[in-house]
Amino acid sequence: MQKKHSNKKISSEYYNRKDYELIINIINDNAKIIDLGCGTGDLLYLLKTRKNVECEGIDLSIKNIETCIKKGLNVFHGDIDEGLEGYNDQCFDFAIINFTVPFLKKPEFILNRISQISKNIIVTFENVGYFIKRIKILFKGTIVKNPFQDNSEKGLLNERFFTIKQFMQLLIKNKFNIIQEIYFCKKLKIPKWLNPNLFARYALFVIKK
Amino acid sequence: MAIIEFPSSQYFYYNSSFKLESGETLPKFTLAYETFGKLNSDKTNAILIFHALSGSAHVTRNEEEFKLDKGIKGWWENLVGPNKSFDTKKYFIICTNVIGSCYGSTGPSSINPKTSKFYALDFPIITIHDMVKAQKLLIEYLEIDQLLTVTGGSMGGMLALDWFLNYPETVKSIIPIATTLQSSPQNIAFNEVGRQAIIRDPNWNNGNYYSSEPPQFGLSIARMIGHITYLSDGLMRIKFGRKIQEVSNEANDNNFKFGQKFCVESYLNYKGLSFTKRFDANSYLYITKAIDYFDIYSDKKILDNLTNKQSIFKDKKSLILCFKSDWLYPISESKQIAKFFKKYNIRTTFCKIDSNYGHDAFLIEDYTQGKLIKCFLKNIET
Repeated sequence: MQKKHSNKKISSEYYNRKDYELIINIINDNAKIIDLGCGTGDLLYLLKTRKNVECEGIDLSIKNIETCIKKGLNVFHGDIDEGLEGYNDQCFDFAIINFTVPFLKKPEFILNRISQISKNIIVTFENVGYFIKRIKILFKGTIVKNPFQDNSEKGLLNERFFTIKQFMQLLIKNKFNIIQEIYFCKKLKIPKWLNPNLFARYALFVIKK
Repeated sequence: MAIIEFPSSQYFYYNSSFKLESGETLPKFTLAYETFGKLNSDKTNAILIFHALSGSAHVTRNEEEFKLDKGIKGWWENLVGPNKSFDTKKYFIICTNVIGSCYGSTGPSSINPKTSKFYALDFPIITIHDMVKAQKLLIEYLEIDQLLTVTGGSMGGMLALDWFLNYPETVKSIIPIATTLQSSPQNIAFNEVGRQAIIRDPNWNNGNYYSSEPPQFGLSIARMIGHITYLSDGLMRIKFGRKIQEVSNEANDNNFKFGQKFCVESYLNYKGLSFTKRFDANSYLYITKAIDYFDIYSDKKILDNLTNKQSIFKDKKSLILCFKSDWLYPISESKQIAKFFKKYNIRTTFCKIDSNYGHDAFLIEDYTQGKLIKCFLKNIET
């Protein structure tokens, strides 16, 4: 579903991205943000045009970087940890890690580092504890691909998987405060009382230290 | 060695005394420069390009020369020209030579007005900032207040950085390529070997060789060493491998008979020798010394500028480019520039380009580099 994005205009396609919608609603106008693993800069561009944010991105792919430059975005070409160098403490209002957790080499270390430079962190990830995934693993023996981030073509394998439960344990261990938690599937939100670890496909956390 | 001139060059004559960072003064100076494209009526489409160590103001050819495929090729014409990344149909491109050089500007091979003899070693020590200060006078003379961008690779990147950090009010953006904030000990070391090769050539004669044989051997060895640092191990393997170049004419061998010559050897010999026909040895000494002294971190004026003019720097955009196989100005150096810029809230885009060409990549890689620059410039205008 996210295969072809037009570079110029915000197409209606974007509104199918529940994650974008949720993130845009969290971020306040004129905030200073950084998107870690910004891809082609779609989310940043949306935030820039709709919330007038001051934004920066980091991405590993030169093709993505080129698209970002076309959109007039400021981006760093490289690994997330190297891209985090040089920022003053708490210089961002929000750092966004949108579906890039599986690609972080040292997730705990990076989250702690990000909390130094950003007041809030928004993390979204796919919940491996989602019941359909559990069934697929049980019967097929493979984990279903995340439609928001299919990197199989690029030769990147999602490496680090979390269930919501595991992620929360990681937050507690690292003394993060949870400001907001949202659970959702492709189009709808899953209420907190409905055992999200089993019934939510995706999770979004706003955390801070 | 006479001054080397391009027919397309224009000259800026500054006839007052010009104070240098060292405290010494030049009684007057000349700067060779070239322009391409047209300056628009608002004077908002000017781009200033700086050349590297052995470069000149002749960055490209004009539109007509391109069409007819005539004229002397410029050093960056794969990126500068009609419909290129630095589009001469759209932008007014200025490329200026530096003081100290032998390409039409005042340098050690010029006549000292006080003695009516060649300057040679009487030429004062110059710095990157001195070069920039002279170029600033030219831009003022051209009555241009706003530059769309300043850019250059290698030493050209140093000049661009020095300009950008000293005169932020005159530029909208900067594109430093394959460069550094501070010459590394390794840079200085290679430069020193080059200088020693020149100085130890008996023909150098304390710099006084303008009426006799120039120190060709020294200068060619300096260039050979330089050339090794501009390439990469990977490229040398592909380009030369261990291939043997047959040399039938023994005279070309400098009477050195250890058998056959490897391709890489004859390539370097050729490059070294051809350089002596187009460059002045004393200029090589002065310009490499200027590169060695370059150090933004210890430049108090620039650091003060960065703290005092934060609101000005905040609106500036930068595109920092570097190349994966460049070991003379490695990626880590460009990353330091990005880090430094971020610290002062300059809008920074950093990009490392996959290339096998080593340091020379900034002159050769036009595909990715060209696209990135084009996209970046598009967003500067608006």
